[in-house]
Amino acid sequence: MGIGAWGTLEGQASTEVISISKRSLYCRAPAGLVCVGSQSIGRGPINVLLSEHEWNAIYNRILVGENLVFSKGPTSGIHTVLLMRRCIYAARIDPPRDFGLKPVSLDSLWSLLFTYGKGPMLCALNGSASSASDPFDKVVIQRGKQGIDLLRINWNRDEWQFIADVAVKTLLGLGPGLTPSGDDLLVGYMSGLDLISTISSRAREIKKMMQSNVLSSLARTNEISQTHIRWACRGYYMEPLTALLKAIAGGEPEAVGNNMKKLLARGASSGTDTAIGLLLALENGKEMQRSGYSLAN
Amino acid sequence: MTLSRDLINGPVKVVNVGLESFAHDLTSLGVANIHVEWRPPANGDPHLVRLLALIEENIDVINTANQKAINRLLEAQPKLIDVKLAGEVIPGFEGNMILHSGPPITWSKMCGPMRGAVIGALIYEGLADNAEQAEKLAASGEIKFAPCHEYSAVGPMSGIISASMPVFVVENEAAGNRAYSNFNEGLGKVLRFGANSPEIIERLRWIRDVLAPALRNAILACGGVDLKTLTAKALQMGDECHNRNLAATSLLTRTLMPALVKTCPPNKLEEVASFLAKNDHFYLNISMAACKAILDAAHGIPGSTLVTAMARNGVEFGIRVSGLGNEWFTAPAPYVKGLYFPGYNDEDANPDLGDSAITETCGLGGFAMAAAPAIVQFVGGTPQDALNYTLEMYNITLTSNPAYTIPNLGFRPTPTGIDVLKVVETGINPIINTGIAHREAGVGQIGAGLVRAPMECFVAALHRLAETIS
Amino acid sequence: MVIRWLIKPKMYQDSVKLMKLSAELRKQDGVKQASVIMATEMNKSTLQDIGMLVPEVAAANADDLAIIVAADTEEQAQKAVELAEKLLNRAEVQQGETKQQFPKTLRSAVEALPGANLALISVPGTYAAAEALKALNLGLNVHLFSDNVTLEDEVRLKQIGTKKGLLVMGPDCGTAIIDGVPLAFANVVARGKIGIVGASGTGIQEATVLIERLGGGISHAIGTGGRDLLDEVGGQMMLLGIELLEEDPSTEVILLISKPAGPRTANKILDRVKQCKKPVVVNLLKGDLNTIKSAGVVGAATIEDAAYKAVALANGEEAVAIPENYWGDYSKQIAVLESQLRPNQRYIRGLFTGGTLADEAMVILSDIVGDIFSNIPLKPELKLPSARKSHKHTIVDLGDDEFTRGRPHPMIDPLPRNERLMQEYADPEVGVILCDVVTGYGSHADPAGELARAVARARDAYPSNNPAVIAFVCGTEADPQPLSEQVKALEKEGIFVLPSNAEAARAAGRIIKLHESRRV
Repeated sequence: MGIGAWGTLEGQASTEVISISKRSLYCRAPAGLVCVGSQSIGRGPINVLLSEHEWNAIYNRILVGENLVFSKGPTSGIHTVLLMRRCIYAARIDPPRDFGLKPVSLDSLWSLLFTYGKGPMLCALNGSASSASDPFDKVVIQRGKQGIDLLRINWNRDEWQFIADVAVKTLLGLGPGLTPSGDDLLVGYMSGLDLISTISSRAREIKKMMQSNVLSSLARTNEISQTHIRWACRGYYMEPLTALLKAIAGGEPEAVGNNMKKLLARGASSGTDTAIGLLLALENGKEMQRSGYSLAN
Repeated sequence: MTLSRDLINGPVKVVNVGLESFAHDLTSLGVANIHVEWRPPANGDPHLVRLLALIEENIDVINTANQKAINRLLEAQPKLIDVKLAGEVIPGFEGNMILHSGPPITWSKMCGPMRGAVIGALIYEGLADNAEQAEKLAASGEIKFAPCHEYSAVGPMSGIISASMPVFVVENEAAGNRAYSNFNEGLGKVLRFGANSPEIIERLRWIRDVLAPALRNAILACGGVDLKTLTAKALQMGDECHNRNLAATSLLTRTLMPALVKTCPPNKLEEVASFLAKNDHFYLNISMAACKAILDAAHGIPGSTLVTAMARNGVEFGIRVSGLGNEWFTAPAPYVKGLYFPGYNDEDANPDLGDSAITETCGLGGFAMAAAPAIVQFVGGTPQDALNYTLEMYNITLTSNPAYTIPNLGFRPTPTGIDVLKVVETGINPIINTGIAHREAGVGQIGAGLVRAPMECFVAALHRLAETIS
Repeated sequence: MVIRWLIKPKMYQDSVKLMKLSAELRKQDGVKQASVIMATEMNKSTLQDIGMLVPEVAAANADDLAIIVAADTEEQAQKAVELAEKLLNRAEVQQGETKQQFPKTLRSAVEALPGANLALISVPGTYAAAEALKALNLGLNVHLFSDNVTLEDEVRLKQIGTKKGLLVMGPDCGTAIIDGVPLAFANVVARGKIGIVGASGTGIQEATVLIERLGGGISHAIGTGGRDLLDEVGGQMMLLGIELLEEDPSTEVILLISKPAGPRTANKILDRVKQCKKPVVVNLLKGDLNTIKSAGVVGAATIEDAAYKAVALANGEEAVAIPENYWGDYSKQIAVLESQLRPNQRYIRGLFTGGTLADEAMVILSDIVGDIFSNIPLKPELKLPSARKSHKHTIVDLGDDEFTRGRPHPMIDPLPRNERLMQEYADPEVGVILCDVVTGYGSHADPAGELARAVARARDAYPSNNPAVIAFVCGTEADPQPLSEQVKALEKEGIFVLPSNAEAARAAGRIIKLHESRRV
């Protein structure tokens, strides 16, 4: 289970289920949201993973209108999900000091993105707004492009915080999906900043500013997305992204490729959206290195 | 040659093991097929996979033996024929003997409820005046402890049977063998959960002196009660005859009542009738004896992998297998997962206890849960879970029993006859519906729920099987 | 235009479902626009931009699900909204239904499907032999798709099968057609008089497809797995297959597709063929046809040749070699493609998903252009040092174990070939890229589309290199991926599609030869 879920669920916390799909559900405890699902959803800060069998049993109960009860043990009943401390997932990125983006080719990541990616932000990135037939999608793509361009080029300007605020307001809550595409992109961008923050104090500054921008505009998106973003601000991400960040930090090209593919396969388009954000940040990082912003000063 | 020619001549009917898309393709082509939800056998344990492969080489011998065992099981005709004192009727029963549930266990290792019940039994038998004396006697080695199962008997929870306790006598009319079970005392503070205070002993004496003779006379006057028919009817009325016996108890009472009003002394009739009316589980012990009579008939067939007993003594869970003689294959008794009565929780629970899993061994209880959707109120889950449990059990049984059918599944026969090989191969542990005992003597039942028979028992049996074959 | 909407307060559905829903709505009659979104500020302002923000949606908030539809008429818009509601609710009901319980073992499956007569086994190799044995013990014929089964297990299974009179097709048997039913990777071909027993999966697929194109049809196609003809196995299933087809009234001609065989087994099979009451064509790729001819049996060097001769025999004609230019005269197209090559673009690169198709192309091409390097070479000295890097004329079998260990076969997952294609495009010395496209059951849903897109991407990436791309589609119109559509997708990207694999290989060779002659 995720560290966020552990913190949210108090002893014998009774929760209200607010959304359910075949593989997972979101429920609301007094202290926040958690996501409960079968192993297939992967680990994440607010996720509680169950065995296939447990999940099926719970799924059937939820459908007849029951709410979930969590317990940190030792007591449990068949209606109670027993939580265990030893399984807490609290992976954060801790890149080595000498991490320099060199071992991993950004080009190969871009190429994987264009090969496997999907969704409106990808169209925004390669400028194919014209290919969308639906007018709503078209506008989403145009706006996504505005947001992306703002993040892409302005990182060394003094008024970055202001510029980024415009980008955040453009992207937050933008697009289709339970977690709107723009939200996922921002999460990915923040994760990339985490990764390059050891090589550049500028990246650390940007991440801090980004956090305050995002947190002050959170009301622009829905409750579920808000929860994910809050954790991203603190440096916790769901599993495929964390695994990818670790692989990049560790300079393992094969793991990078595999995890990138896994990330891209996620959701309707959220994996792609996240990956785009991440790559934007890494491109920024590369620029920072090149222009001498490198290393902790 | 003929078999492959049959294939070529069509129509092709395919069992698909592996990629599910192949089955979808065949379905889209309109070809009869069935997809196997395959998992690596024995959860992929390479040693067990090898063992299973080794046994597969001799599968013909095993199939023949199992067919014989199944025939005996399905042909059995359990009938309630009498009530007698254990010491008089159980072959080999000695005066200083106390039978208990589950696999063999010594006094020093017994769990709390079983110790409490032994103390109660010794006081009841007049061998001790109080608990201290009884404990001393039990520890002295003068009392001979033995599993009920080894004396054709079964008892729920601690399963304590002593010489002067009345027992039901069930005869399998097809094979002539008999099985025995003690009387159900009701819920709450009762001997089988380890209670041994004076009012418990008093109730046991009343059972012996009033209830047992009254029922005996009624049973004899009816010419016995056909338990196969009664169980079948109860399944149609929402019982699974382990954790829910409401319908079966009512049917039994209804069957005996006309005789009972004639044979019971008038001044005791009201006591007897209201005891039966208040005890929803009165039929449980009779159901268990019927299952025991059926399974004993299928026991002792060389080569058969049929499980003929699953039983727990509160410390260990044990199984016996038709082709493997009287050996027990044991593992630590698991804890029951379930719902607790208000005020109790996991910490109060005793590990799984009692011979009542004989019902699951015979295709009732957890195996027939689909017949008893109401049981989920008691053990947790949804009616859908109840169906799914039964459906799952078809994967580990050798046959299904046409005598017992499940209305909810289109009157499909209940999955019957657990196969050691299938359990290990599928990694599906038999499901058991059961009560939860407090771990201290005498508190009684504190909840109910589900428990899975431990895989280690079946793996141990498989090893022995492989030895006997090679 | 009429706008209709539906707001579901606090309804959270996962994104995939929302996307499917909006796609479904956009397909409805008269619907011009349909959005299924969370009503965030940003999404609402987007709606405003396109003039679709109605006050009710404006009043909704980020936690509400909004469905907005614009259609030509009031009725159409209303219908779409009703459909949206229905789809949202239906999903909920569906989830509550009993989940289908499949049997968990072969044994329980057989109990549930009385009369079952074939087990199609595709579990991982380590478990496959055990499952096959169970199937045989239950009286089922076995189609063992799994690979990585030991030779020892194969011998034992086939002995048991022979004893019980049961077919053991495999291990590593990719395809079979029994009584008109395509199994595993198979094409949907016309039924007819030609029965096949084959040691190669793609060989059988190619043969069945070509037989259909030549006007013939298939009675049964029995796979044996690639090792059946080794002396250890002794051709047990090839022999059983011949016997079955010989007795089968619907079969009039038998086609054997062989792989390199042990000497004892080769003799045994030839002896059996000589006694066969029905005409037999024997195909032996990479092999010596003289032994076959001297045994007085019709031999064929390529699958194309074998298919042609089998059809001729089935039509009561004489089995002669396929005439030159039988499929048509392609000189013009070849000249055009050659004219676009730069002088140093002189090598052929074959990227195959089917092993036998690669074999056949090598057999044909080595006669035209000389040595072909490969991971499955015709001669040991032509083995590529690394299968991942081409050298001069190269043909790789991307379905070989080296590429497929731990990942799907390239017929299912086009990625390995897409990547390799990019690599070959980057090589300025490559003049022709030769590919197979295998359709049918089991294969990728749109292999031609994948190849076409990969070619387009590669061309964008390396616009100055413009090798000719030549392909053969091993498929039929009745396949789940209809042949005409597959061919159209390829031709749209300028890929030269030929009617047989052999013809495609010949065209590749002719382009290179012509180019050579003009360079000199």
